[in-house]
Amino acid sequence: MEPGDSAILTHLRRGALEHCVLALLDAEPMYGLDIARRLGDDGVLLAGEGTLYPLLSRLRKQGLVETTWAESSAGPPRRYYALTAQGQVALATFRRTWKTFRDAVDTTLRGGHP
Amino acid sequence: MNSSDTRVGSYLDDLARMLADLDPADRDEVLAGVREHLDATLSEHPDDPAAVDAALLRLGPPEQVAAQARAELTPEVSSSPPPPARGWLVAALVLLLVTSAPFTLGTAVQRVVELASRDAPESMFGLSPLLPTAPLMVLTWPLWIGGMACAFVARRRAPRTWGLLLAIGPVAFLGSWVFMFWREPDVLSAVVAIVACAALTVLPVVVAQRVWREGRTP
Repeated sequence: MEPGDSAILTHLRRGALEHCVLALLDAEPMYGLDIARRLGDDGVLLAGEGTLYPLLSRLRKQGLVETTWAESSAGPPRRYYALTAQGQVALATFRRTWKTFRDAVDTTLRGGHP
Repeated sequence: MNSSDTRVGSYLDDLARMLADLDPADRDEVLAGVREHLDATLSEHPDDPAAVDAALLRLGPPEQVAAQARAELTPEVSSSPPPPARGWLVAALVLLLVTSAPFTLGTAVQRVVELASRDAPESMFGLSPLLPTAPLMVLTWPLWIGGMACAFVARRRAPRTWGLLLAIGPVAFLGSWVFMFWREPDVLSAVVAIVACAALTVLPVVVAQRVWREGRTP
């Protein structure tokens, strides 16, 4: 990553990252470490794995995700996060809007008109 | 406790301290999430100090997590109700000053006049010449109560100083009554009354000015 990329990524993550979390949970309920690994592998979506937990806390408070506990075969019980019906609606709305937004940005970056 | 536990404990302590200003339920939830994250990671690599270092590195510094928590979980300032219209504050100041300052000032002036004309002791030591104003003061009571009510409604416009206004209002009002009827036949009592009435006139004006200065900003 070039210097300066970090500042741009910080701006781009706002509004996008939470929907990436919802998209991961759309497939199946996941626990925190698993979500962090999936999102944090390349360092693009997550600045640090720890920043995921305040985000998950807000999503739960907003009713977009819910939590349940499940035993683990390798270690302590795990808190699983699952998408709620409200979260599914938010994700569907984001998918629609994101496509329009991404196409407009791509077209503009290629020198065309949105 | 081994060094891995110490490093994990130290990380969590630092994070807890940095989240101290957050809502306790939010703080506990974030801390629990990070703790479970570390527990799950370390259960995969027990007794591996390098795994602890790697896990803490991937979590990011506690400052970063705390900054994210504040951004995500601090209520928006704009969610607090807007302050009431400035008109309430204007009404409170006008009503409270009108119902006290003229009477305290009038009493002070009257006692000065009496003291200056010592050759007319019947005026100084007899019934107050201001007594005819007493019915007028009684009539101003509803206005004064209205002023206090307006000050209460406008309290969020001047949260630091509105209490002063409420405290000074009754003091000035009662003072004007006391010094209208307290007429000991000596010079000292007259001087005390003059000074007290002058103070009871100036004090509400000063307080009103402070309240107005705080409350005028939108």
